[in-house]
Amino acid sequence: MASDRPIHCTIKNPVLLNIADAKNEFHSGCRVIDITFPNVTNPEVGEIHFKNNYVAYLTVRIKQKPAPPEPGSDSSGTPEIKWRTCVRRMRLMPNPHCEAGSQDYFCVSQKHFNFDLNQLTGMRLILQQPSPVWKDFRLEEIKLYRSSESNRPQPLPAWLIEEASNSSGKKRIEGIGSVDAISASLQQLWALSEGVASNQTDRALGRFDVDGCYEINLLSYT
Amino acid sequence: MADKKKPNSADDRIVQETDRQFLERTSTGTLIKDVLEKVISNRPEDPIAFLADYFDSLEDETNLVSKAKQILLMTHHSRPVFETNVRMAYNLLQKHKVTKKVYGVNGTVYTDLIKALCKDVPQTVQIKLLKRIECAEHECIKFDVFCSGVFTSCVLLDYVKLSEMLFKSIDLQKSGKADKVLCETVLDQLRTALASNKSDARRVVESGYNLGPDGLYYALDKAMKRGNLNHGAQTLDQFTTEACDAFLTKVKKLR
Repeated sequence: MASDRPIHCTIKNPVLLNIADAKNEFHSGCRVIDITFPNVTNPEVGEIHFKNNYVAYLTVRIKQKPAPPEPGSDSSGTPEIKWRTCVRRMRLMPNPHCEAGSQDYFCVSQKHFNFDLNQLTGMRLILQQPSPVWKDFRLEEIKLYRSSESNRPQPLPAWLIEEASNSSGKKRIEGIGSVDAISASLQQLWALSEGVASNQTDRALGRFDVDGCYEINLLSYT
Repeated sequence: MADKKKPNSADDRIVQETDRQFLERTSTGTLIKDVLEKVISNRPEDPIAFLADYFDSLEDETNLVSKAKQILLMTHHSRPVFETNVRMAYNLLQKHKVTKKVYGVNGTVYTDLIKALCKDVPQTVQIKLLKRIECAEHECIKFDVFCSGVFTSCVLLDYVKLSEMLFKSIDLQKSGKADKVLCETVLDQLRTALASNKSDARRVVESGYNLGPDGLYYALDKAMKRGNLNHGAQTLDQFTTEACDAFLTKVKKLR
């Protein structure tokens, strides 16, 4: 279960990788989308949603904030931040030359990730399409959602999980009949009222008067 | 010559008439068929009384309202035939004469019918109901409005009966007065259940629990422990009126 609102992040335009210069129209079949999290504190990603558009394989690589240096260790040089591969060549189209899967909606969730995505500084989606059949390939409607842990389901109300032990016996209250009978009648009353409520007409008779505005005393003064 | 022959042939006809022809001539056959159909579709609890009522009102074409009321009360409102009956009653009331050449269901006849239906409902409740669904004389009552009003009244009849039964189960001594605290607790439970919005599933389930034996026991127990018993009593009328007030909040005001 992802939280309702996607993470606010910047998704850059896909960049086509070329072997040589722009004149050389070599079809590399590889594009890269960079995602940054400029204004998010502790960005962590639980799910990636998107709509495929002729991408055959998806690789997700991420950069994480370096862990705080341990007190004992030598913290002189800034530790190098490496790109880590979180999802490797996930197959989106069963066969790159065929249409199947080319327009599907995907949800890459934690079970696809190699590790938890937290303390992110950047994310890079690598799209691959080896087949030259398709004119273009990209991902649409990319949305990132937070981890599901941060969104625990609401606890069940007490009356739902309480033990049924007190339902046996001892339900006598002085001066009145059985609670069961009263409860049954009350429930019937409820049912009748709901029945009526759902059968009320919406048709207007065409009355224009608002309550009280035709009060004779008011009219005589205006 | 011709004059002479006529009585003769009439006599002949009577002699030769078969049973079937007799039934057809007097239209008794269709009448009985009709009433049997009505008995079967409405399944009254007391068929003999039903038949008696039916034939009683058969002659009386003048009082449309009482006839319509009788049609509506032929069956319980939960049965599918009820809808057909409502339609029949509506069609019957269309014969109501508004002015010289205008016929149809107007506010007067509709309100009369509602009043007739709710004759046994306590006066205060009846007034409150009418405040919500009453129509003015000049208003033309569409079938939808009619249907909704009639249904509401019929259910209200049941509702009143049920709340009387409920009162009796609180008032075990049959003294006609039940403890005020207990009544209030029970009514409160009912009111909260009725106030819960239908679209809010959680509230609905919770109300269901609160009206169940466990929830009710809990609420009653709590009220008893507060310990201000014997501080007053509620009569049957007060109790039904309050229960019906909760019901009437569900009745939409006509626009």
